[in-house]
Amino acid sequence: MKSAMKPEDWIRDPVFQLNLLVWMSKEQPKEAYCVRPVFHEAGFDWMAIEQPIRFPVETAKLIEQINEKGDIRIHSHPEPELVVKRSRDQSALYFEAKSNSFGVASSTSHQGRGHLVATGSVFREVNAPLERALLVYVVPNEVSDPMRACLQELALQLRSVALSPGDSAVDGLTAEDAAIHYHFDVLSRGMLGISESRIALVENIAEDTDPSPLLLIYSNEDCPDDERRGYYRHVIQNQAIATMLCEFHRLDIGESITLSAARVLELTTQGAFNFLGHERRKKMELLLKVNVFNKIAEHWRSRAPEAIKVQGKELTVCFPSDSFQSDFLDWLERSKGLFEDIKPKGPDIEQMVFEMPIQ
Amino acid sequence: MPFSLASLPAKPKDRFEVYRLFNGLSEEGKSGLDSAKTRVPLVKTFLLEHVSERGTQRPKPLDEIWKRHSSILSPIDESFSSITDFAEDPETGKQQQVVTGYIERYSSRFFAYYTVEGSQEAKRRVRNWIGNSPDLDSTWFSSPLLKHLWDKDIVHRGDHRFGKLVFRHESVFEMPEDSADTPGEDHEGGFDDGGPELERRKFRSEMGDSVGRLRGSLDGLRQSYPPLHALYSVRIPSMAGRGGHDLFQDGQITNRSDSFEDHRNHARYLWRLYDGVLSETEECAWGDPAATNKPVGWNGVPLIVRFDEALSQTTFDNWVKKAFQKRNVFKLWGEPLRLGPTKIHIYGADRHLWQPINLEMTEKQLVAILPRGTCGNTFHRLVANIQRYISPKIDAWIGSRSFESFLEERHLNEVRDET
Repeated sequence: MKSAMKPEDWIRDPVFQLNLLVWMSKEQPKEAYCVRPVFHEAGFDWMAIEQPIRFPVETAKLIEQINEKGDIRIHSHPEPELVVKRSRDQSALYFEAKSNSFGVASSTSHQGRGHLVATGSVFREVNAPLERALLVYVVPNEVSDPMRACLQELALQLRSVALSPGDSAVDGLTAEDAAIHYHFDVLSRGMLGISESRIALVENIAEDTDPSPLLLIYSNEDCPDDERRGYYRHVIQNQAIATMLCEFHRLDIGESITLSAARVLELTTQGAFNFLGHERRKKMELLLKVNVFNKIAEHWRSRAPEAIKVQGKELTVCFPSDSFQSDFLDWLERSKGLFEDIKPKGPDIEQMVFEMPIQ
Repeated sequence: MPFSLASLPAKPKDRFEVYRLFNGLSEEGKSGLDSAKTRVPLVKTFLLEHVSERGTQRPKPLDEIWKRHSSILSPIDESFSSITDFAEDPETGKQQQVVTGYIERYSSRFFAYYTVEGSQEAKRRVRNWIGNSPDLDSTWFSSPLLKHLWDKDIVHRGDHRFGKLVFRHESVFEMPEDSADTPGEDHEGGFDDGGPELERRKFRSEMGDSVGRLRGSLDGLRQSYPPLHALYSVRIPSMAGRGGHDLFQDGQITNRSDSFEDHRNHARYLWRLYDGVLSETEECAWGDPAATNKPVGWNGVPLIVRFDEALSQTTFDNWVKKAFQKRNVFKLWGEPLRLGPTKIHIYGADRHLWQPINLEMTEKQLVAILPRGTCGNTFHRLVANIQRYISPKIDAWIGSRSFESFLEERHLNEVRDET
């Protein structure tokens, strides 16, 4: 599971970038932080992760008309990666992390327009009592300038069609001097009230060590590291198995428990699962069903078909005896490496696995 | 003739009959201590936590927990019960069912087990109950908490009073792979019994003197020798008379006073202190979900323990290898995901309480994230075991608050008055 990536590769990974931003808003000690909590120190606290924005009716209609016309395209429900808010002045930082910059003609530009609209004059209407937001794109620092130029051009386009985009900033990430650094745009500095243009976020990193802090966000996507494509799925599966073990250890003999994939993920993510988009939730349920539930049921099918059942997206467990409980828990506790972390694919597979009971 | 547990009343008229018996034994025990001959075992209390009474788990009644151990809990009044369990008859050497001690329920979450069984047997019995039930845990008076008790309470009980401090540190993970045994057993008083000696940093020291002298020398000694930060036990002078109460890291309190009532009062005092610290740890670690509408998983703060000296590669590797084994003192379950030579992540569980925990272990520090609803005991157990087995001198934080400042804010005067 050792990483083949260098720190300068990690700063391009969207999951790594988002995880850093989340840690930056988490309270930590000054003397021993994992990631310097600069947003927390400036008074910001988490508000939303990957929550789609719904525009006011008038704005939504206008965007619909503009999109129909086809000169420019605007995302009608943009999904910022992270929004942090500060109650004392009702302000917010609205983050979008990218592995690279993009141009006005790229297919990603409609997202950019959507984010600019979301942080403009409509922000106050949608997010009252919050009053203002700054859109912050976080990219590898070497592409900050082209990213900034693109956002300025996108803002001009929006003004030309009677929309009011918000201010935007571009913050950069670098891996240098044995640290991951964060470079602030002048507008970000103003919002945070700090004078430094660059800070070390993660210090004392080594070439042979993945600089990631503990993952606080969940992804069923591939890890960019060639040596461990399934790493993010592996993490969520490990957390799910830990959650299941905790439930099973409390089960009395003869008592039955039915856990849906959604329930396990809800417990595993401390409720964050319910805040994810529908498609993402479905993919994560599928991951758990195929890679974990089915594997458990297949292993125990011959020995105790009545004790361990999978029906649709639900796993039902009932221990008939002390010895069976002990064997089952020992097996699950020793299961490291048994559960593949490959990505289940395709709607047909999804349909099939959810409908076919495994007993 | 050795003391037999069969002397404990199975059906006392009320709890005060037990108090009277324990008072007599305390007096006899104290006079034995004074003449350097202990004729009866000392009365001792184990402060225990009923874990499932807290958080999101289904609470399991205490009598059901003991039924699982083939033991019987028999109520004497609404919060006081006797426990009948198997114990060896000192005369015949055969196992027999006898009353081994009494349970007093202090709150829905905490209770005390009072017994006069010999120290090793009682420890083994309590460990067995806890080890086989995710619903039970010890209370964990980690070194910073014991030091806080010393600074804020014990030194104010009079310079002339007798004080005792015990320090323990054993770098069990420093050993080459083939000899790094799994810690877990106590070897009370076992300094040099002529047996094989493993070459690793090991420190067990006991300082017994007047409180005034100890106070004057402790800080200076700690600065020059880090293992003196690994405080394992303190003597709390009695409020009622001579002697005191020895409090150990795992919540055992041994009565060396001549009064059971004074002993019980101290047990309840320590329960209130621990309960307050634990509740605050949990509130701090989880955050307040009512403050916002965001999911609870996005609240809360990490718990960070930083070692004074970075661990060697060998120590780190041994720790990672052993800490996740079933019988290891750290009692962790999970797959260590290696991110570098001295950095691993674990998305696993506290094997003892069976509750999820995410950990980052490096050669310099440990970072823990406890999901909402999990018990703060996990954190206090981690701190206690790290100081005893990994690094005697540490700094610990809950969010941005240092553990010391956290305890400072909870000055002992703030401990709730029971009455």
